Amino acid sequence: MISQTIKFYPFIRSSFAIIGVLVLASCAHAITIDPGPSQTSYQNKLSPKKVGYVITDADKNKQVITAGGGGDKVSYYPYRDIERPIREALKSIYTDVYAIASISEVDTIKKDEITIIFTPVISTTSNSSSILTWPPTDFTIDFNCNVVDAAGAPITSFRVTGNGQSQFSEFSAARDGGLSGRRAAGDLSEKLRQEILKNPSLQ
Amino acid sequence: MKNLKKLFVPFGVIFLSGCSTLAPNYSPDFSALDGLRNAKLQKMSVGEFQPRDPNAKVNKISIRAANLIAKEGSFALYLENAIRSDLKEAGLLDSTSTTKVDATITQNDLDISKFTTGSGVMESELTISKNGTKTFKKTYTVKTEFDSSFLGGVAIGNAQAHYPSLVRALLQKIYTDQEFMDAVK
Repeated sequence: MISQTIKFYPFIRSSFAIIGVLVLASCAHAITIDPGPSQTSYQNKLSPKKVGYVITDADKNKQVITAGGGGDKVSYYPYRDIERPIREALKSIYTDVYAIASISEVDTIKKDEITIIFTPVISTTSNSSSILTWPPTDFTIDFNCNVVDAAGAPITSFRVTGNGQSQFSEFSAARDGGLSGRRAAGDLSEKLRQEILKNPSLQ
Repeated sequence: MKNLKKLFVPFGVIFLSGCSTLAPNYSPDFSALDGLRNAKLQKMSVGEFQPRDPNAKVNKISIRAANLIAKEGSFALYLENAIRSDLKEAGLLDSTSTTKVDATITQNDLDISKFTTGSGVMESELTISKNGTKTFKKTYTVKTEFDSSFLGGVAIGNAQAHYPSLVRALLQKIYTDQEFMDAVK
């Protein structure tokens, strides 16, 4: 009886299809944007300084939702996923790098002999040129950073932006909806490294 | 036209159903690794985690109509690589060390049968051996939760994205266990 009802009322059938599609089209798909361990090795001599960076547990648990393709969205944890490339950029420059809970962790800063502390504020955007598939084809990571010394006195502040793109053929072959985000994170890591290296106050 | 283009979306979801999907890269808890580094532990080598058979139950996670698999071929190797990279990050990896860490995964699952909350469970028996003699054996179990959905495409994606968090939770439990640290001092 139900199938006959549907058969005789095509507008009901198409309405269900459109409603189902519209529901699906507003979904947030979870992705990760951690690029994984870098395979790049650097030849520069490491600074003997020991540095810390502040990414709190609250930061790591911040989930953001940005645009994907086809009206869909993507969700991810930017601080959690970008910590590795940040850390790798710092480790390519400094002898020792520590994760610290805040610039107020005086005992940790003193014990580990940390002399420079980076505190990033990260924002992200994404979008897609595709109307058919949800993974973003373009991803941007804005990294604003305040840098202080062990006493909390300002040293400098800077901003770098990581960009990543991917096309359907790439993210479908890799089965990776976060591919453009991973590339943006990798791009950010290199730009962060270059920004630090060109700043005499951070050497 | 706008509605017409969106008609392709359910076909995409259907296309995803029944496929294998890959677990994302593991990402560590760096704070826990800094703690390991500061604990002045012995350097360790890493054994061949088990089971290696891709067809073993723990190496294929069924999430609705899809299967989550490790691109390494087994979740045992996924976990082995995770510990290896963690120990390297903490300055504790030495392939020649006679202090060796081994593990066997005994449970490894993501459950998205419920529509709003998914759950993960991972259990591993960890052993430490010194000069070929087992000196420590302990089973670690973690359970996690994550947002899910009645929509298969979203639920599967959320489960996939959650897997590194499940592994991170297991390793965090190991690294902060005083018995483990005492075993490798």
